[in-house]
Formats: sequence, structure tokens, C-alpha cells
Amino acid sequence: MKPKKILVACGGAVATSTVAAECIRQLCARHGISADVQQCRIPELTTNLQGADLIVTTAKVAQDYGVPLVHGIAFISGVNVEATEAKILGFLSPA
Amino acid sequence: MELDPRLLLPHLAIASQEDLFAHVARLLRDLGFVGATYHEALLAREAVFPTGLAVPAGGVALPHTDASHVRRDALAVVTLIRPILFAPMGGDAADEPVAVTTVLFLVVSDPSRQVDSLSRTVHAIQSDDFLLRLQAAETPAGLHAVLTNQLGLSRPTAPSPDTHTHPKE
Repeated sequence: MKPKKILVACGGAVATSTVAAECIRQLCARHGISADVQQCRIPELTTNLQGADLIVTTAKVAQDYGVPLVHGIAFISGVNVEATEAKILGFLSPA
Repeated sequence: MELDPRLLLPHLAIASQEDLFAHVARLLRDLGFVGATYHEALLAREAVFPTGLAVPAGGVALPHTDASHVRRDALAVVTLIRPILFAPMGGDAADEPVAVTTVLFLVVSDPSRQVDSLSRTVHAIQSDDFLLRLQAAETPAGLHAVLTNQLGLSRPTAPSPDTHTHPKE
């Protein structure tokens, strides 16, 4: 099966998206999901959208990219991590 | 990631985010960790992508900039006597602010080489114990001990001078 393409976006692809991307890679590995996790900045989302299955962001996003979007603040704050993980898995698992 | 004791500022009395950023940016620049554009970039980034986090043990903020403004990786840690308001990460100025008492400036020039220390830092702030210990530390050495214990960060490779040069506010 084609790996799921997951875009992890924050303000500068420096700190929060680095940590969130690592959490998502581990989450996918734990659940046997083949995933291509890519980091980018919020403004770069539009150019990286091609083939994306999911966007996870740690910043406020108003735009609709036509791809499911999950807020990943939980990976940074540690609050509600399970709920965020469940939401991500829900978008990645075959229906 | 360097843990220079001169960047560890316990129990600072500072009234606003602007003053805090000015103070830390000047310190980082004087010590050669960042370039001249860092301060502006820090303010601009925080305005658009705020970093306040409400964690169980209180408010934490993780201000940072694009890698291009950084010369040497470092972690600057400030604990505050009185909380300063930050807009919440994932939100903006319209959202309810977070009252922050611990600020970790992530000074990173190449995030791909810092995945481990960034992950450890972020996981650490999720621990009540870590934040309470940081808050309790009264000296740079005290902060240093908490940070080295919990983050596994090392001292700088070059010996740092004994004279602490905190610029006057």
C-alpha cells in the first residue's frame, strides 16, 4: 500500500513541527501504518499538498486545504494526546 | 544544544513580553549565539505563531525564530517572579492568553540535528516535577542542575568565563 503522506506544519518548521513529526512517526510505527511524514511551514502547505492524506499543524490555520486537518498542540503540551492520536489514526486507517 | 549558565536566568522580575524578548535577545547577541536580526524575528514570529502553552504545572512558552537568525544552538531558560501573558500556541491574540512563568528560548540553527534535544525539552515541560524544580531554582547553577538531569544536555565545549555579564535592564 502507498505510504500515507502526512504534512506537519508550524510557523517555521523548527521546533514544534520537529517534535510533532517525531511523535506521529512513532504513532504510525506503533500501529503498523506506513507513513511519509514531511515537515513544512504553514505558508508552504499549498505547494506540498499534492497527494497529502492528512495535515497536522501546531499553529492556527483558517484556510481549508481540502485535506483533513488535525491540531497537534497536544504533542507539545502533553494535554489530550490520546484524543489527538485517535483523531489522526481515524483519518489514516482504512474505513 | 549548549546549556550555557549565562543563559539561565532564574526568578527574573520583568513586566512584559517585549521587555523579556529584548533582554534575552541582547544577551544571546552579546554572547554570539544569534545575529542582529534575531530580536526582530523573535517578535515577528511570536506575533503570528505564538508559543504559550497551558501545561498542568502552569504556563510555559517556547519562543523561537527561523534557523537563519541563529549562529550557535542553545537553550535559554527564564523563570519569572510574576507571570507574563502569552497568546496560546495554535491560537492568536484573540484567544485567551496563557499566564507564563517559565520561558524556554529554543535557539536552533539546524532542527534536524536537534530532534533529540527538542523532543526531550518538549517532553520535559509536560512534567509537573520538571517545571516545579525549574521554578524552585534560585541560581543559574540550580537551573543548570535541573536541566542537565532532565534533558541530558551538556555544558558548552569551550570553557565559559567565570565573569557573568548580564546586561543591565
